[in-house]
Amino acid sequence: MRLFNRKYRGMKKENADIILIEKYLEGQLSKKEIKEFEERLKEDRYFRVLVHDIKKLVKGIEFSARQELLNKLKKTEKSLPAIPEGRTPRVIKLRRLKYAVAVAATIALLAGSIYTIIISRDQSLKEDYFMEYYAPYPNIIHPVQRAEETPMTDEELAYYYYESEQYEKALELFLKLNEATGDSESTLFYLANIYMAIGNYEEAIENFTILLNDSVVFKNQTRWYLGLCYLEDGNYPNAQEQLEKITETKNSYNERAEELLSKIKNQ
Amino acid sequence: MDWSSLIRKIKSGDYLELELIYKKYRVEFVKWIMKSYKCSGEDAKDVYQQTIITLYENIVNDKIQNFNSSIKTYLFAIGKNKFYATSRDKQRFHMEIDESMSMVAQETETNEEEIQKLKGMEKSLGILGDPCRKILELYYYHKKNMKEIADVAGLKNPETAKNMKYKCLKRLRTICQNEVV
Repeated sequence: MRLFNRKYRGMKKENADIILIEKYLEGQLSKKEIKEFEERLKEDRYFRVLVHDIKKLVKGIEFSARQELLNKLKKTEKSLPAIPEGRTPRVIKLRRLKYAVAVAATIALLAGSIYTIIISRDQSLKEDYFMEYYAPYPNIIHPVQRAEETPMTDEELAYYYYESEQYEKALELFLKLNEATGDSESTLFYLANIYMAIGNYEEAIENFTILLNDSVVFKNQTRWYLGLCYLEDGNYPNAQEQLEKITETKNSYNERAEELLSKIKNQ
Repeated sequence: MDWSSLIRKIKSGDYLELELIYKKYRVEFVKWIMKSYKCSGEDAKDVYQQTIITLYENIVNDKIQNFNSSIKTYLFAIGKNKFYATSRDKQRFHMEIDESMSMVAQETETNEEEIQKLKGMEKSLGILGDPCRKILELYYYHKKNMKEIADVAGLKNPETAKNMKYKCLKRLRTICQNEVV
């Protein structure tokens, strides 16, 4: 198989076209320019081939550079000592600290240290649980087509940005969509997810809470993500409340909600 | 280290900075993956390396927006997704997927022919050689601007780097047109 078809060589104005294609690929064209670009794509066979080739070339260059970086990391890994199996470093640290405190510290220092350990352990556990269970909800409304299509409507573009983790751009469009649709369930759900992904838990909680009252399709998803937001925020009673509600009915979040609940309770 | 300092250092293009981050979270991350997902140390290291690469790519592509979370939290979040993606690719991990997750699985299916082509392209880049290969990788993967590329590649000025980049891209295209995989 040939990497590229060779019959499409010798194009005029190739550099200008390459610049245009690069802008298109980097999302720097305006809506009007995208439309023109796509019109030309339909009509101009040579341009279509050039776009195809540039996309493949860029992918290949990225692939090659990524492999190079991976090889460097593997070389670094080989130079490092083996990772010992066994308990986590946090437990080891606590033991060492306990020993040091027993030998040298005054009661005041002891009290201070224990307080610090509890707080940092709590923070660390909270982060661990959140990280273990959190992943942004997948885009099931307008899944991005990997073929040559480009999102055109604002709604498709919003979901495209969401899926490609360009949350800032996604947020802007979802806010507009939400205004236009008047808190439609899916828009509000993804809007809250965006706030969560960018670490704005306050806004995420607010939007998930609004959604909770009217949600039909995303009811359990909303409870799950709201619970995680509360967990990240350190509000365990509210986190527990949402997780417990999930376990009351049969749904795809049952198992993980029960698991997380038991971890929070045993902490 | 905070985000702004990390981003500045990584963007300056020094591999040593990325290596420092790699070393800093390595033990904790690998143990966490091994413990959470019951996988071997080697697999956990693979996941960690892919995670560090994604961190690098997100930094150079300006995709980091969650400055409220710590670097560790961010890495662990990527790691979790990487683990699932790697597991799916290697088809050695059976996981329960609900209706929404199955769509993600479809999207990340490995296309063997695509990988063969990418490897073929890697060979073409080898034929292209330096400085062209370096220039193209600096621009498209490492997201360097023309001035930075001119400095690294020892070219006269950004304009020269820009012209060189187009010539290199066209030369690579020609090589690919003649290359059979």
